[in-house]
Amino acid sequence: MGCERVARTDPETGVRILQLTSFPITHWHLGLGDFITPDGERLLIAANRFAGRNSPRDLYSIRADGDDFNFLLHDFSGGVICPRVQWVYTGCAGGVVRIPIEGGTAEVLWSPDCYTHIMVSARSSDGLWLFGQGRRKTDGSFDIVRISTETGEASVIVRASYVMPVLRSSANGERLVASIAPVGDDGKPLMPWGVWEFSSEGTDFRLVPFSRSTNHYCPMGSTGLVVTTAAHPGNALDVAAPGGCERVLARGTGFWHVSSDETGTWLASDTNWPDVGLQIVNSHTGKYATLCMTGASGGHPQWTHAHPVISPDARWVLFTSDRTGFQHVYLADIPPEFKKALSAA
Amino acid sequence: MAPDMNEISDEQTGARVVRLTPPAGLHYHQYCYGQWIAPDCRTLLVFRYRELRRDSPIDLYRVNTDGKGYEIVAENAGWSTISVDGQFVFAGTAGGILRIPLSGGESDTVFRSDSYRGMSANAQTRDGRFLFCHAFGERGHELVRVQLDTGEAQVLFKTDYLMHLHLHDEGEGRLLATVRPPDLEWGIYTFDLDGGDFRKLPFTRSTNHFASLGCTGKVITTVHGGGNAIEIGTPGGASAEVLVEGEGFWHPTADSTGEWVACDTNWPDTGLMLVHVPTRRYRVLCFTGTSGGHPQWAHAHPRMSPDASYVVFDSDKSGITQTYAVFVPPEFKEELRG
Repeated sequence: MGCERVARTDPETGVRILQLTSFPITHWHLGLGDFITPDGERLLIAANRFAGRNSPRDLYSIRADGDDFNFLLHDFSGGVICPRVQWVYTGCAGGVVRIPIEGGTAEVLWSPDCYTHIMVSARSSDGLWLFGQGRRKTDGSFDIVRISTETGEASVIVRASYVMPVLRSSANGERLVASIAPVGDDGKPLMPWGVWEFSSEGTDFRLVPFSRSTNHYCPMGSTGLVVTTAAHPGNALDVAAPGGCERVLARGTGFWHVSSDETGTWLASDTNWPDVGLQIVNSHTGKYATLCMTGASGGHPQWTHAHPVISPDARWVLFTSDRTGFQHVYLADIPPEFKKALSAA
Repeated sequence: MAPDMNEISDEQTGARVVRLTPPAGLHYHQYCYGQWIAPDCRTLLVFRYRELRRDSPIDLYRVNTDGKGYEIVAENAGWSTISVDGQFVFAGTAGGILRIPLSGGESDTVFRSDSYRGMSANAQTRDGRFLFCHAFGERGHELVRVQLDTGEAQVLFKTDYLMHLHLHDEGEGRLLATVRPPDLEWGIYTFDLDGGDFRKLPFTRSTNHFASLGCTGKVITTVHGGGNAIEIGTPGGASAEVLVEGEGFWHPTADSTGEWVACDTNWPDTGLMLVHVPTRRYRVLCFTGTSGGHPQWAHAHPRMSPDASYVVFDSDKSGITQTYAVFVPPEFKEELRG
């Protein structure tokens, strides 16, 4: 498909920003989850097929420098890149398929008949297992499913009446984090809705004790902690250990959507009410500074939110912006000197 | 269709800029050369994506330079040429070349062939006799000459590379293109109407963005690698010379006399420049607002009208590429003429 990148520089901070998509239709990245390669070189993005509210959605892979913009699949749901990078796993037609990251033929990995769709959002660290949420055709409730990438063997590990995409916690072995309302086989609540950490077998639930979460949260890399933004006008990032205590990590601006690198040292968060720019936060010092302005309008629709995602190696931040009138995907470099200043005690 | 125009004055230069195309569609014009501006300079051709989708069919429209008269000319059209009498459009299609009244109406087939994946109508000789077409398909690229009064078509040469084909010398009997001619090396050449007598331009650092310098017989190009210059060369000449330097000149275009050149800039974008060739002076005509990124739809691709009264350019400043015309204030010309 070629390359659609447009290079620009943030006028206030001088940070280099690469607009990865520019055809005038709606594009977005896949949000939180394992959709970026561990080395930060490739990622998955999505686009409406055409300009229209009823447009189908298509999945693409792209390099972080804007090259190799490859179409992968029509009508997908979620997406995960395996650790060895050659395969992309995604939901399609109520099942799960895998596709070469350069594009090609989709192979069915698992094809149950009981779900309207399965959103694939996480994998185990070794890439042997996928995790996703299947929406039941019968009653619209969700099954958190675990699927073997080698055999396609699958099992339901949790049933829920509500769930946000399941995320991998890189600490404590193979554990997961989700905002979820678990239910039993009879559909009755097992636990109250909340942000929970649990094992990859769907056991050992530990509540993340957020008291004012926006429900925008993420595992904080390998620290075992979970970070969230505080509900307006909290103007803070709160951090908590599953089953432990909550504390303020940083405060003073309208943090909105937060993301962490693999070490848990670096966080990225957009801001709103007011938008003072995309913030980079050092979790050790609590210092933060504006990396760039996203230009996202910050309105009600999801396509007006920046949804920043920091790369696993904290080299760049991905975000979306509707500044041109169309939501596109952007990538802002994090200059080393920027990190140095925030790391200073 | 209702006229849809948006007229502004450039904030920095005051030059009048008219958006020629309706803002809901992705439009672009036919780049920096070619006969897609009518002889009276009042009407021109633009392309439009039929839908905002990457695989959309692309249709050909005409529009007047006041933003009125926006009408479809042909569906699924490729590079096209307005006839030298201003009456027709020769539109390239997958199956051949159509002739369509510029004012609208039924088309007829000038040349038909099923052996190509696509054809473009690139140039018509000033006497109206011949149309030169770039045909491409499994056999590579071919230069096809169509004799318009008989419909007889002849392949003048085959090559693995042919690009930017257009009329040279304002119709005095030659063509200009980037090409790998039979048994010759790749380069920018002029050649005669029989597809022979290749004369190479002595450009050593061309961006492959070039245009005939009106009726002068010379060719201009921008230079790569931070050269920040426009060079001028003579086909078959020994060396090129710098016309102007000092800006990141990108895509050059000239009027029919060769007195005026317009050129966009990048790295950085310092504006759309108006260049007076005899004095080698230049100034900013306007700012296009184009993002200047990798896709072709992010480039301004200025095209000067034959009478040097305006420059057509594309810009994605609204988020969807549109075609604009900036009118050259007479005082700008007086200033540059000195």
